[in-house]
Amino acid sequence: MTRPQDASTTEQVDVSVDPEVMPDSEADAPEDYRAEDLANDEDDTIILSRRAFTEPFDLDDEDDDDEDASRVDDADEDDAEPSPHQGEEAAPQPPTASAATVGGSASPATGSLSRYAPSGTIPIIGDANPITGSMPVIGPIYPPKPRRPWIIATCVLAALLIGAGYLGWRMWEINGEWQQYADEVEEANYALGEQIASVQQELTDKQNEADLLSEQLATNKARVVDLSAEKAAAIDSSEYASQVTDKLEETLSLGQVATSSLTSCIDGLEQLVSYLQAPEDEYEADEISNYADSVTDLCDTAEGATSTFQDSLTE
Amino acid sequence: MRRRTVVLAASCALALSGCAALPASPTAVPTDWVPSPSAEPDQNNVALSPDGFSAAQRMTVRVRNIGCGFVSTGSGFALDAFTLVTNRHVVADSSRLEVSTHDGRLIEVTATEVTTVADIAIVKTETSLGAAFATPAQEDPEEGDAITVTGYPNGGRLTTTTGVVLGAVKDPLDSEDRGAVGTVLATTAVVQPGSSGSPALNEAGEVVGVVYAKSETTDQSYIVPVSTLNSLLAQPRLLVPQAASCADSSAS
Repeated sequence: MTRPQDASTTEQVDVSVDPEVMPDSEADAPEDYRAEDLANDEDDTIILSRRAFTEPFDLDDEDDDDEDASRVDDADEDDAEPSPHQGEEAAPQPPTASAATVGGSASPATGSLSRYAPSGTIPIIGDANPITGSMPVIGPIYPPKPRRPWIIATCVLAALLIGAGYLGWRMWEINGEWQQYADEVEEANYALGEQIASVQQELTDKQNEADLLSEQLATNKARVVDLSAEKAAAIDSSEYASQVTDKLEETLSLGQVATSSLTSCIDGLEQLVSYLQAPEDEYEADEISNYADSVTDLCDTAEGATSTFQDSLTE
Repeated sequence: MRRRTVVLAASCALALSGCAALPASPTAVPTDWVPSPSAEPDQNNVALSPDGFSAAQRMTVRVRNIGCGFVSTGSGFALDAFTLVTNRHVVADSSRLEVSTHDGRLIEVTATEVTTVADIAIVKTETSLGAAFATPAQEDPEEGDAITVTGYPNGGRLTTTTGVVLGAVKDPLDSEDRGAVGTVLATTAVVQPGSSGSPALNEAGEVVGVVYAKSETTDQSYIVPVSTLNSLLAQPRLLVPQAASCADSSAS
């Protein structure tokens, strides 16, 4: 696999290999360009940790890297072959295979981050031809960018999206249920309101009826009390009249007694008068005197009865 | 791979954790908004009675004393279905006693018991006096307590008057027949002849005294305190039967 970084590296290598095809002005440029590139690389490039060799994906990446490195090495080797047409100062010495692998083909991933910071001379390991001229600068060979975070992030976002969709759907559903519940409650409230209004109207009617009945009850109570009092008074009067009647009857009887006594007295007196008017030799004087005493007793009794009668009348 | 699974599971858990914050679905709309009304009326409402009369009115009776050549009236109150309390002078010199209830029912009296320690008489009746009976209080009223007197002043309508207890005084009546042992209570309740034997009720409806006299110069009335009545009821030997006296008077 070839990445832009790798391609640029190759281009740089190609440029450094054939400086003659470049204009003079540009022949001097590689140094500036390289310095600037190095500076940019130093600032912007982060070499990620390499993956373990055990994963096939990493192995492929490593193979790609190796292929890139081998291509670079091949190119370097091609460029490094001495050409009879090239002078020592005309052809800058390409880096050796060992040198090319310093920055490009790093050791297997160790899991730690390291920044590529070329500085100073490139160390030469093993047999190499002496390098003369300007030092070719080999651009950084980036490790393959891991795609796992993106996949994980995508999965997470997808899960969140699904969850959010589910939540939204549930909220929509629950909202509908609550709206239906609110509608039913509102309908029940209106029904209860009508019922309350009806009951209030009925209560008002009943209250009016109760007031009227209370008024009637009070009137009837007063009437019952009046009738009871009248009845009691009537009974009292009846009893009193009965007593008066008894008294009158008693008085009448006393009057009758007095009358009969007076009648007897009068009859006795009349008989006594007849006795007294009779010839002297017809009645004994003692008998007449005794009769007169009897008449006197009768008259006394009549006088007493009359007095009792008069007393009873005055009571 | 495992980390991816863990992250994915965590994401799903995070996403589903939002379900916990979701409001629950509403339950079914209740139908028991209105509780079932109770058809039972309040049995403790003393203001209600079968005939609209209060308990004080229903237990107060009118006593008619048909004496020897006179008819007098007084008041009384039912202690139970066949017993009522009135004054001794109300039933004095009677040849026959009759009791009238608030609704005009006429009840014959079978026996009368009087006492000399107070102007109190206990009367027994043949038929029931009704369903409302007096509840004697346990203590005498104090000065300033409000009382209600229900009776038949002048033998007329059933009347209710109110007053205040003025305090304990000596029995103002000098007559031995009407005198009472101990003190009596003076009140401001206005009473008339015929009110004798009326119950004096406190605010709780308990009997706190029996009206037996009134002042000739002021509107004060006098009541036998309930403590005396309770003593008489607790000691029946203090009560002696009273016979009809008309035969004796007529004989005399």
